[in-house]
Amino acid sequence: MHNLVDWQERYDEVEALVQAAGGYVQASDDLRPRVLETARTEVGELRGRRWVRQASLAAAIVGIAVSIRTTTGGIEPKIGDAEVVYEQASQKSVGAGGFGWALVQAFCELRERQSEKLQSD
Amino acid sequence: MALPDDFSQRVRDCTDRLAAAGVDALGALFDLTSHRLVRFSVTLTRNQHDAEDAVQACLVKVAGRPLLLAAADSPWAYLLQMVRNESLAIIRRKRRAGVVTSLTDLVTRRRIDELEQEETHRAVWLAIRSLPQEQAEVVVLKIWEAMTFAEIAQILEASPNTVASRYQYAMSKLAAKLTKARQEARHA
Repeated sequence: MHNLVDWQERYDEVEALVQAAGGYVQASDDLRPRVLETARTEVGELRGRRWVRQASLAAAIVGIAVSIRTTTGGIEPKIGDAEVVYEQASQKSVGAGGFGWALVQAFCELRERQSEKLQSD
Repeated sequence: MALPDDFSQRVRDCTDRLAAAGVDALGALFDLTSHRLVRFSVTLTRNQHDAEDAVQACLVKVAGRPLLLAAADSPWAYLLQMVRNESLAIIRRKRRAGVVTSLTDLVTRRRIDELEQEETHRAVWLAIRSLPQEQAEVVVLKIWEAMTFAEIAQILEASPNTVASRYQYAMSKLAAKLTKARQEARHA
């Protein structure tokens, strides 16, 4: 028991010595400006890289959207096409065995026209 | 002895300011933590220049991604862990982990009223530098950062029992070395 108390006292003493020496070593004077300058530079570069990345992404999205619009623009069915098909079907239905078959025929003709237009492009 | 709450809270405040204001708020975090971080890193790298490089790399990373630190449960413990990782990376790169028997690389404070204690401080630092890195870092975190074994275990990613055991070994060695140093000083 006496031995344990001795050890504890010795440890307490060592801990006190180490504690007191904690402030002995310092950071050098030039560390602060060095850290702040490097951080500002790095953060600036990081922002620049992020801006370039975002701008490239936006440009790519716009480019893809424009190319999709350009390639599919001529084939997309239009409201005007639907009206024409409906009108043609109405005219054909008089002697073509009903409005349903006339609509199918008008729609097939529209698809043929679209196909020809796509091939000519 | 638990980590002083006010210091942890001050680190959290600085971290929050950094997250809100950006790199302009880094100076306050540096002023608050640099001395402790350099001191911790010096015991790992055993070289002042390398320790400052580790602290610089860590704080620059924090400035670039402040939310990383702000989101941590304990920003101070996280910062210590970051500096430890940077220090170990430097050690691996430079293969400079051996025992150092001098203090010539260190930037030290010499106050007039502490001149008498300087020899003791030097003996303590030499004794700490002679410890294996695993034991030295536990001593630093336990005594200078006033952390519990459980808190230290989280930073070092070891079990609290392992940490406590390393501390016991370290204290035995320090006690022997400091006693020897004191006897040599008396004879000199």
